[in-house]
Parts: sequence; structure tokens; C-alpha cells
Amino acid sequence: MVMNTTFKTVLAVTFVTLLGYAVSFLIPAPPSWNDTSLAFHTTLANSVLYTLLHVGAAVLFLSGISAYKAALRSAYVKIASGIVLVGGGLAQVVFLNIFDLIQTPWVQYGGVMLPFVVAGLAIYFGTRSMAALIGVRSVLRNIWFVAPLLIVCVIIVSLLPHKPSSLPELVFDISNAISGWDVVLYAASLGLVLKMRTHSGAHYASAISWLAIGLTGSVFISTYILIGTLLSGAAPAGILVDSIVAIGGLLYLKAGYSFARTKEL
Amino acid sequence: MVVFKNVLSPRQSEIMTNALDLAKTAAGFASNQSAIEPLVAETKQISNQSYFGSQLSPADEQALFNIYLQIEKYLMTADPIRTFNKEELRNKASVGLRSRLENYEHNLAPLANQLTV
Repeated sequence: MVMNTTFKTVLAVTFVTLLGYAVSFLIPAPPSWNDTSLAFHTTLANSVLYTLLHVGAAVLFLSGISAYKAALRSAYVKIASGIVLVGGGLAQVVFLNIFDLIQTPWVQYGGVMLPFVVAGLAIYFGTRSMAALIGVRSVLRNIWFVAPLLIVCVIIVSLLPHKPSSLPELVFDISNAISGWDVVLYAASLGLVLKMRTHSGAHYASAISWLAIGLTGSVFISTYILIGTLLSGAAPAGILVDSIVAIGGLLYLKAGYSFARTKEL
Repeated sequence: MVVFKNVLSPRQSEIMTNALDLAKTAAGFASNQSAIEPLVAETKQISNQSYFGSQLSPADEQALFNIYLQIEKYLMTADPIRTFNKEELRNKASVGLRSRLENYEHNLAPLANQLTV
């Protein structure tokens, strides 16, 4: 059986992900943890799982770039960085909670939200560069359309009524505004990717479709977190969120795999 | 098992035995389809004229070789995301088809170009 480099990369990513998941169960719960040991380990293991899935997806995206011109490589790097930040950003929230690091300056001064802000921008600018390269004409490529739309949506989201939260009102509104920011940027990226699908040749159809599915997952997850936060006054957490984020990681992994395979004719 | 085979093996490198499939496959590699739109339209026109399973006429085959050579040139010089090379593209053709293509390229294509000039 012949195994190509792309498939070896998938195997390596799967191995590292499962190893990371298993090793999480060996880490002792910190004294500050006030739930069961099982709850600590499943929470930690799930966050390690979806972080490594997102990182693996980025590795696969980057493993195929040698076949492409510099401009597309740059677009790929932006998208891959965005995907890493999505997984890493979500995981850091879990780490900060379980290791009781909520009072650190990183959280107090809003650094914790930075990965989500940058992830949306990186994925949007990556897909926008790709769309520009292959000559896609769309209003979603126009920064003078997307930026005002983004600002309007962020303002509306931060003004929406919500359940009382234990967080200060300003912090709560900013966190929701960032979820809204991501919904708009992922949705704009999705629109561009769907336009690319009709614009490019059959060779790229599968890869672009899987990227569209991955972005649909991101739009869904961000919207779910936003609505869940507004309805309950706290960001949704637990097995359901862990599962949909892990599925989101798997979708990007498949998209990365499909992109890596486009280098083969 | 088909899923596993698909995942485990390198991308199925289909070998084209006729000029129509070769031109269509080459067109599929273009990242910007609008740049080769007239060539794709011409390929579709020839495809619609020749009914399923029938042999291409020599004139149709030559027209498709001409289309293929233009798409190949586009892929090698102007595709915005990737630079293809002649060998990897022509490896998609069977030995017989490639030999007819190269015969057309060396003998008939220059004549066709002279006529159009």
C-alpha cells in the first residue's frame, strides 16, 4: 500500500491528537478545582482534543502550499493562522477556568478575547485574498462594505437585551460583541468561499466545498455561543459545546486534507 | 473499503484516452474558469455535437487538441495560483492520445496558426 505525504500527515495529526487527549487524563487536578476529578479531566481532555484538531487542520492546510504561488501561500497562511486561533482561543478559556487564572492580567485586560478577534480577521482576509486571486467579484470583498456592516452588527449585538450576568456589563457586552464580530467575518468568508466554488475548476471543488462546510460550522458555533450567552448570562459550556467545537475542528481537518490533496494532479 | 482506499492511496491518476476528456480535465485545473470561458464553451459545443459513446471525428479531435494546447499554455503561464508544467499535464493522456496530440502540435498546429494569422 502506497502512503502519500498528505496521508502520513493525517496519521501524525490523529496520533498526536489522541495522545494529547490521553495524556490530559494523567494531569492532576489543581487544588482550586472544586468539582469532581472526572469533570476536570474530561473538560481538560476535550479542550486539548479540539485544540489539536484545529492545529492539525492548519498543518494540513500548510502541507499543500509548496505547489502554489506566493500569493496563494500567503492566503493559506492567514486561513491556517485563523483556524489555530479559533481552537487555541476556545481552549485557553477552558484552561483559564480550570486552572483558576481568571484574575490574571491577561483576562482582566481583555487579552483573552484577542485570539477570537484576530481569528475572524485572519480567516476573512485569507479567503478575501484567495477570492481576489481567482477573480471573484463580490461585495463581500469590499472592505468599505464589510467594515461598516461589522461595526453595525457589533453595536447591535452589544445592545441586545440579555439575562443578568456575573460579569461587569461592559465586559459582558464586549464579549458578545466579539462573538458577533466573528459571526459576521465567518459569514462573509463563507459567502466568498461559496462564490469561489462556482468560479474555480473541478480540481478544487471538493477542497472549496469542505472549507465552506468548515466555515458553516464556525458560523454555527459562534452564533450558538452568542445566543447561549445572551439567554443564560454566561458563555455556554459542557459536553454539547465541546462536541460541536470538536466537530468544527474535524470539518477543518477534512478541509485541510482536501486542500493538501489538490497539489496532486 | 472504497472510502479507505480513497484516503490511503494517492489521488487516482486517471489516464485520458480521448481528446474530449483531456481538454475537460485540463480545464478543471484552471483556478479561474472565466479566464478560459471561450475554450470551455467550445469544448461543450463539441461534446454536445458528438453523441455518447461515439468516436470523435478527426476534425473534432483536432479542434479539441487545439483547445487543450491553449488551456495548457494558460495553465503553464497565466493561472493565478499555480504554475503547472507540461509533463505533469500531459501525463494525464494515454500513450496513443499523447502521441496524436504531439503529432498535431508539431505538424498541424503551426499550419492552423498560420491560417488564422
